Amino acid sequence: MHHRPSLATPLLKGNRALYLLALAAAALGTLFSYLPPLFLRSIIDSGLGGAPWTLPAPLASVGASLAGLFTASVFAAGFSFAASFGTQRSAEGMARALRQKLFGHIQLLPFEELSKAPTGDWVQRCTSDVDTLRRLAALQFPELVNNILQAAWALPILFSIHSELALFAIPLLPVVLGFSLYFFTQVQKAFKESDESEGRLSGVLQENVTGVRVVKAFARQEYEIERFGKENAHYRKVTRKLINLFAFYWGTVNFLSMVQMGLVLTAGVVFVQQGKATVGTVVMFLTMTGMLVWPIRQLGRVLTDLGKAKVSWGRIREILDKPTEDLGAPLVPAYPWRGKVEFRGVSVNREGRSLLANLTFTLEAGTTAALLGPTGSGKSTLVHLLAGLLDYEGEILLDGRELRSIPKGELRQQVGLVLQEPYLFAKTIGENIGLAHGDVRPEEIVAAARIAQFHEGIEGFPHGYETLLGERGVTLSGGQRQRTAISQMLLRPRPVLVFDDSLSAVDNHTDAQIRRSLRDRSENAKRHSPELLVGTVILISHRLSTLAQADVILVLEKGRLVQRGSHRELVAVEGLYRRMAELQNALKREWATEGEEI
Amino acid sequence: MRWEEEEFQKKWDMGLWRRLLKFAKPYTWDFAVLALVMLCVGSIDAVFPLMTKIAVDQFMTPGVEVGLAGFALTYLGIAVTQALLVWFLIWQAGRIEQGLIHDLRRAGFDRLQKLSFSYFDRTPGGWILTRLTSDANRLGETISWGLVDMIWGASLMIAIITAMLILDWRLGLITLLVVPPLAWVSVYFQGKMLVWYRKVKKLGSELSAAFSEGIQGARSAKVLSREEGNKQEFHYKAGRLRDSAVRSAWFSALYLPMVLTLGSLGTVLALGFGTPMAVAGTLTVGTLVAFAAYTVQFFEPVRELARVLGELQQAQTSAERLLSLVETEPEILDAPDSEAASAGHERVLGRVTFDSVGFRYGEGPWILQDFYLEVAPGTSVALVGETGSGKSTIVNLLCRFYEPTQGKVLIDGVDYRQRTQHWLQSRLGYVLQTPQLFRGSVRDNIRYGKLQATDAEVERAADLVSAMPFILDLENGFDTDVGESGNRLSTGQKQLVSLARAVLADPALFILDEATSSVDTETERLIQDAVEVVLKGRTSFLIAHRLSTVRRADRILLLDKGRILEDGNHEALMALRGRYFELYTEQFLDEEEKHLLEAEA
Repeated sequence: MHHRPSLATPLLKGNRALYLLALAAAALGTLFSYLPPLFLRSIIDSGLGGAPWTLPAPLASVGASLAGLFTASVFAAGFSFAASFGTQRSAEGMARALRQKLFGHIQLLPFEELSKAPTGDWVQRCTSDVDTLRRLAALQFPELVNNILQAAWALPILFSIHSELALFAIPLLPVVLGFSLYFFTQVQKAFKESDESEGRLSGVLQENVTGVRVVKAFARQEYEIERFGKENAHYRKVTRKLINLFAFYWGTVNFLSMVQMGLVLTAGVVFVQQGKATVGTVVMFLTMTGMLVWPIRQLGRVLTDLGKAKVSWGRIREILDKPTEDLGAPLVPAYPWRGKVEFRGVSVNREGRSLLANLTFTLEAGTTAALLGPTGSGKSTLVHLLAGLLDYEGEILLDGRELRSIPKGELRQQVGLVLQEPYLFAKTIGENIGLAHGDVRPEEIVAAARIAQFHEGIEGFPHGYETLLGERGVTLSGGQRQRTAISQMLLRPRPVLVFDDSLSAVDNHTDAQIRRSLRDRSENAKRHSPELLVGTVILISHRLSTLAQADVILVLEKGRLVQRGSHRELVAVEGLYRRMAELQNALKREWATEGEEI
Repeated sequence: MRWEEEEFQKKWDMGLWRRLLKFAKPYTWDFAVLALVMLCVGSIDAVFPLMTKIAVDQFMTPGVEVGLAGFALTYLGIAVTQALLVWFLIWQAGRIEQGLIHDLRRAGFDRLQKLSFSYFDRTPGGWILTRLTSDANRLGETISWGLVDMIWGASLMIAIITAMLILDWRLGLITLLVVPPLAWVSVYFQGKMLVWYRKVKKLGSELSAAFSEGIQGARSAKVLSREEGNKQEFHYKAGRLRDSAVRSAWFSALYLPMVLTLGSLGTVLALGFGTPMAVAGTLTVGTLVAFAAYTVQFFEPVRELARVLGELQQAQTSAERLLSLVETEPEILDAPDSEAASAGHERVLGRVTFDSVGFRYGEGPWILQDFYLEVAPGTSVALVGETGSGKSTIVNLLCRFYEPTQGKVLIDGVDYRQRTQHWLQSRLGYVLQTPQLFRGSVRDNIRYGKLQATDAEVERAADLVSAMPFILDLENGFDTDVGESGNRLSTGQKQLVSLARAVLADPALFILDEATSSVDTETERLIQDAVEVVLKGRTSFLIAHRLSTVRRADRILLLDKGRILEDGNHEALMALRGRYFELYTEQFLDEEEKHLLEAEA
């Protein structure tokens, strides 16, 4: 992974100065926290022991030293607050910037990339991986800096005051550090084992709850209890193993720390007895050794977490490194869109496969065209092209303008594509319908829902248009979702409307009604302002009744345009369309006779 | 909604903790041992400053060389004891914690298996999952480690106070002046910190949901040109999270410096009043040093006590919710004498009678009323109708997932309430529209239908439903792991396995809740054939969506709003030219058109 400042800079913007200031405060705080033991030493040695004051004149009394001690503590506390709050505040700012950056980036990824996005994994990256980085900046990195600073301040102080005693204050520190590092790298395996076991445990639980019908219908309650019991006991076993490792760690490391303190105390006693050190010095050494040794025990954890942060950053970069598309600005002056669509030798190839091959056709503005073809014949690819969702070779013109030269945002305002499996947001149904536009009046929403034959359905919900969708609200059926998506596109007139098999989940009858009211609307519009907007409709359908009413039917097979014509023209020649028409006739005959037999 | 994240209770609910007590009961002795150990650990922590005092007062006299060996050995002995105690306490607390979590989970799961179907109908799966995972974890953790920290904090505090008062009661009292403000600040800040921590967590999970929506909905947003709007909404949510997190950081960053300052105020008090006493000779230097050490040490137990109190209060929410699950009574219970009544009736012929059955959920509208149905043994019945017509209700009543509000359901002429639930349900075969498999091998999943089945029987069942070819094609054949919920298999494959499972169970009554989701034509044909095998000679109820399935049934019931509009076989209903005819012609054409397109592909 190479360094790219372009990304890090916006994340740090507005946060970096604060962060650096906070780290500086941490350094000062640590320095001030070492002053009280020095004052304590003077009070004991000079105030009590009668030795000459080593402190500068104004501080050379018990009262002044006490005041100094308290002031230093207050400064230490103040700086430590500034450090802690400053690092956390700027880390939260960075986390917010990173989250927003990720979200915005994902919104602008190309359609194809989004189609294969593993939702769960990406959510994980956007949440827990970001959180790992946040904790690094807010807690772990400052802690590491603090630890280093503590050693950096303490060692010179200790050695300058009493170098011989200082030698006794440090021997076990590297041992504690080494042991801590070793332990926290080793314990990762036990952590993983426990996590995996917990994953399996919730898996069994999840299956049991979602499969409750099966469990009950087969009366397998006892068996399930046994199955869950096994996982439950296994989790207990591996988690206790993990806890026992920690028991050993904390027992050992506490012992080492206590021995380190004991060493200073014992050596101090000997030095005092030999007259080489004062009581105050020993007490000061004890206090400072204590301040040094306790944080080191956590250092192993901090350092292993640094490793995790690196992995998280890599996972986040993988998303941010994916190229996004540029939506562009709306065209100025407004382009007179009417809805004429032209394909000139259009091909789409993906991974060595030809999805569309050399497609050429023209649809005049105002045409209703139907696409027919077996699964995998390229129908969806074709309509996705129109909305500027895929790259292609050849030329596609909308009202004489090459698609690539139209800003994507503008294009998608003109080409209303209704997806086959639309996603609805956790908002009210009215808000969902009005989603594409900023300023929507309630009447418009109702009008759109009426054309999509969904108005009465919506009125039947507990709160009508205010009904909340999603987990905390109502779950819509496939047909209802499709009708919501159709309403979204009907809200404002668009030169081109495309239905990507988006009536597949509504019944024949409703399908016909929706198409009828669409036709009524466009005829109305034609009568009132013929020069403005004509409205081309392209729909994918497998229903003969739908296909038959289109002005033109395009039959696709294996990415090629094999037939085109009206219903009348296509039933006259051999091909897929005629076979469908024959099927219907045959079935109709069959039903007629079946009825008569009885 | 009951599964919404509730705000935690402010008040102590002693009744709640008493109800929890029965889970702690098996660990009474373990708790006692742990408490004793914590008492020792806390006291020993207070001994170290005393050791310093002894060293200063007895040994630190320049020029006087008194033997240090005894002192050093004592110190080492204390250190070893303390290390062993710490090791043991973590081991023991972990044992209790994991034991409690295990027991709570088991109790919850056992209860879940007993609960009626209606419970699962109205309780979201995620809610149940959280109860038995994070709530159980939190309770076990808070109870065991909470006890540890509480006893440690209390004993250390008492030991320090005792030591101070014994060393010099006047100086002790003066120094202890800082304790009340220390306690107040601790309780206040720990409370604030917990509240904000919870808030941040809640906003964090809202943000996860926003991410999930943003990723899944990005394609729809794209065709709607809605990217900018989505971003704005997300920015607002991300901003809220950040603001709360900063508030939370404010309290946590403020707390430690505040108590440290109070601690150093204590040091100043001790030294300010102690130094003149030491100069006057009424106090030893060692005692003064010990006092200084104690003032620094004091804030830790205070902080721990405040934290544990806050956490216990919060754990009440977890306890309430988990207990509400464990203590839910099943709505359907076996009659007292049903065990005896069921004995000797192992064979079920499969005559099903709905006698004047009425049903509604609670006080809701009637879904079925005065419903009569008599099905002869071995008949297959297809239920056809729109959503809400009562198809699922009939099946739920038949399976005794729900019981009729009025009237009765008779199996072989006997009201099923006279028998046990197990009697009926162990004779049911059930194939779901979204086939539900379990983690394990293909073999395990088929064997779910009959646990004592031999491998040969399992394979025969697979063969009967023509699942053999695809199973043998899998990497490890019958021993292939199907993944969580069977998700490594395709929908069609899952369907076949669940049919094989039903065949192996050899049920007297069979229910098929058919899929609307499309599988490819070839698999669909296999499934149709397999269904035919299962139906043979059994009373079966089919909630059918594929008309090819419906056509095969002996009897078709066309339902509307809980009533039977049309009743007869396919030919009879077609001849009626009624609703069935309409539905059939319309939907069948749709299916055939799809098949034609698929056949071309």
